[in-house]
Amino acid sequence: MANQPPKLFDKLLSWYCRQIEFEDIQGDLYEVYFQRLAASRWKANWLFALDVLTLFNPFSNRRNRSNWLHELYHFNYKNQLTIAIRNLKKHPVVNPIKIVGLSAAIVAFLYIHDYIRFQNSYDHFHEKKDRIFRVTTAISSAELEEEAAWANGFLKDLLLEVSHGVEHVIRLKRMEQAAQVKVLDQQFRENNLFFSDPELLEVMSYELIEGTVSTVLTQPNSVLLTNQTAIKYFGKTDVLGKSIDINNQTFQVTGVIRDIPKNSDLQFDLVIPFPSENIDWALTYLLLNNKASIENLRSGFPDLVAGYLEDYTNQGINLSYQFENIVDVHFSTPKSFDSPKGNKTQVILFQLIGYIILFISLVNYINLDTSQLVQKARGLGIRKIIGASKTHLFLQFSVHAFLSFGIAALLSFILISVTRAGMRHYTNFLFFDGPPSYKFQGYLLIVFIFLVLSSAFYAMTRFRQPQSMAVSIVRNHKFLLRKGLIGIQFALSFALILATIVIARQIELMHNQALGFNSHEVLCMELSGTSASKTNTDGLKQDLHRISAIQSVSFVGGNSIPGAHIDIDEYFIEQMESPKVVQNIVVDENFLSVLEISLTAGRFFSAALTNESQSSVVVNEAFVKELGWETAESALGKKISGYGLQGEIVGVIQDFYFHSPHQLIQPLILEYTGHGSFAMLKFDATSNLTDVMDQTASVWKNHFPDSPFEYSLLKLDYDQQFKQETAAMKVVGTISVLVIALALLGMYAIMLMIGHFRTKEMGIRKVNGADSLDIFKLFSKEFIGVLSIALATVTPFLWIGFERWLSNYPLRVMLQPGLFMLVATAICLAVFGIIYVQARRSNKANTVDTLKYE
Amino acid sequence: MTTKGKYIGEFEEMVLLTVGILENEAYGISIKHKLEESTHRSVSMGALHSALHRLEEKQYLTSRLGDATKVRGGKRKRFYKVSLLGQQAVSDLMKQRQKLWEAIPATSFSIRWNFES
Repeated sequence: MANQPPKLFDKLLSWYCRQIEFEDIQGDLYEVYFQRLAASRWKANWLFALDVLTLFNPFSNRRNRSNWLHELYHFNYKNQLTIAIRNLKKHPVVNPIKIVGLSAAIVAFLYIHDYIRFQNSYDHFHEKKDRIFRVTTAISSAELEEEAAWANGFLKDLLLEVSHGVEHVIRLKRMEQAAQVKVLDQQFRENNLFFSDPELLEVMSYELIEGTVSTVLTQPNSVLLTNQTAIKYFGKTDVLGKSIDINNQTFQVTGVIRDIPKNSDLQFDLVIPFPSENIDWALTYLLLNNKASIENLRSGFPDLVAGYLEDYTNQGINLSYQFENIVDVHFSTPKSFDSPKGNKTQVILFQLIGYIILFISLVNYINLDTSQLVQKARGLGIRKIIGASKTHLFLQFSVHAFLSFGIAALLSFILISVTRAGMRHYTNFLFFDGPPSYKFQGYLLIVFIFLVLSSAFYAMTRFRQPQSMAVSIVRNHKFLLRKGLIGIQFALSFALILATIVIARQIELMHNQALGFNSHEVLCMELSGTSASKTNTDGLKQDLHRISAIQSVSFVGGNSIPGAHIDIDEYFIEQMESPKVVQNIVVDENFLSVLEISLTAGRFFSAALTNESQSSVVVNEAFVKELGWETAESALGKKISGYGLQGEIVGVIQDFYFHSPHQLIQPLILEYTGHGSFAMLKFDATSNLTDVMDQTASVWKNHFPDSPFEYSLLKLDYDQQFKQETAAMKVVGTISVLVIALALLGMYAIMLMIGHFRTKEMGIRKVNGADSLDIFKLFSKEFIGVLSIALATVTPFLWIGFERWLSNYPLRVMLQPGLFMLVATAICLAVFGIIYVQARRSNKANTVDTLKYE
Repeated sequence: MTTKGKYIGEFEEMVLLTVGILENEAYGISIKHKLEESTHRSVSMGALHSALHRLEEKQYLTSRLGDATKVRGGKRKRFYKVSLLGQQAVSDLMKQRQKLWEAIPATSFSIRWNFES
């Protein structure tokens, strides 16, 4: 029809106008429109539009809005809080479980978050982090493929002179043996002393408390201390110009830096300049200038450096260099001579577990809450009938949720502050302890508010408006979603419990594996850095032997104590065309008796023979096998030569794990030394360790009055190699306990809910003669399917995952289906236990009440 | 309800009186015309409807839907009627005014007598 009001404005009216008055307003407008149409169509259209626009008055809605605000304002919060607290008190078992479960999950989540934050923040404190790169070396030859964290010392000049865009290059190297530091009349042993190029602070952002950046390491006798070291030496930090003796050389303190953040890959206690310009290998960092790109360097560098590597290529060794951004160093693949590295997969896995735990605990919370809502329904229904509005009910639910979540949040913060120190200690894992992240806290607050509101909203949706006086709760007997979630929870618990057990068994296997030597009751002392010489080590040895509890004493060279970073050298062996690279240690005649290693063939070293160190070597069985000799005896007398050595194999010893069973036993050559710098003392297992220690200390004091007596136990040092696995086991173990607790809690919640919803049914069944067992069967039937599907689905993934992890270990436990069955059975038993408890409760309830229910 | 909620504004009072005048014929357009006629000022649709709505909420007006007519595009009219509460309110208001008016001293107003005559 042509004579119609403008459609657009008609639409607009229908959009904003309240339904209840839409019809008559529209009618009025039409009536006026048709009257005006008689005069002018254009004018009528125009006035219609104007009318529609003037009718759009946001304040005509005012009454509605003020209703809402009014309720918010006049809502009796105090009253409602009392009701909420009363509700909490009404269920002295369920409510604490609900809240504790939630706060445990929050604690776990926050810990995991802290750990992840720590791991991801490595070396991010360097201001020039985008431009700092570490140079590492890949070494490959016919026999050896190795990645080293170090780079050749000559690269510095090459990088600075030949390639453009490199602003600074610094090289760092840890002093291999402990340094003897003397401050006034105090003695210290420092294991973490670094040599460095003078530009250290130009590249790295270590905050200098005392001294100036440009001159801090320029003098050959200058030393840079960390805050902690300065306090240790002097008790204060303004110590510029003070002198300290390092290995009998005098150094002057030229700078003190703040302690290096824990989330740094490079950790040192004091730094001195390199003693000479001739640096063989070192950790190498370069700083690019603003304009340069690392890609150019990466592509151009191999050609640049090729000419300088002829010595290596002639020997058949290829070197190539990689450039790693400093922030990526922490998650780079572990290399030799490297500091311990982080594991990205582990970080991601933990993150995932953290979110899953939080999610599960929320689901449990909601399940438990809903089951309580049934009981609250009556009261709420009466409220509704009396005239409580939707807003009112929503507010009431909100107050309730706010109280629960608030208590849970408070509890978790208390838990965290109480357990934090212990947790650090227990897991050996580092947590972020810098300033808190306000972004994260804001995010938590938003999550908190969201949870409160959504939980209240959820409760609203479960609560249906009463049609008459009867009150009802929206229900679905199938609980499909909930059952699915329960299934996920148990699958996760299954996985974590199994993981804990598998890791624990693998560690146990590696610990208890016949290592080939006995690491128990062995005391280690380091003599380097002391005034030890050939003559007084002999005296020391004799004196130590006089201690009755000490059975045997062996002096060995550096890197020769099991678990240490082993040396490798080239050897020319009879009948072999090319030299062979073999691991080697330097020991004395008592090495075998201290470590209880047995001899397979020939003889061991003898102190009585002269020239033993240049003419005799002992090898292990793996060496014999590697060279393809048939028997240990056939190895005897074979000529062998190497650095400072021209002799023959005189003995073969049994294989032992010099390193932990992470690696297969490698071929090993033992050389003789008469003056090792490390002492290993075997003491009687029955003796008192403190007595042994006191006696040893007094002997030590007699011989080295200047040096502090320090010792370590071989067992503890050696077990350091299992640190990663042990930490992983503890963390996974803790999390699995938490997850299984949450899963059982969730199970309990859902059983409670089912119990409530089927109260009447249970009553009828009981009247018809059902006993607890019948009801138990009825309930279990619903869960057997979910549980078996969940466990069956994860099993193959777990099997593959564990196999893959275990394949890293040459010595590994075998996975047994029995273990899987055992854990699965345990979980099923726990679940059925909970079901039985509920079944009993349902059955014990007074039938008169249950039949009258609802 | 608060006293503020029961308060009748000047425009609302006019609308209430006009609805009373129109008796059974009080709906949007007729009220608008009558108002414009008696007060000589133009009344916007929006203002009128929100006043009607407010008065109905305050329970001074009741309404019912009438029959549909063709001229309204098939839409029904909403007829308004002053409720007992509304009548009470208007009469209270008038009495109050009257009292105030009578309390004005003879010497104060010069037009008083003109008005009475």
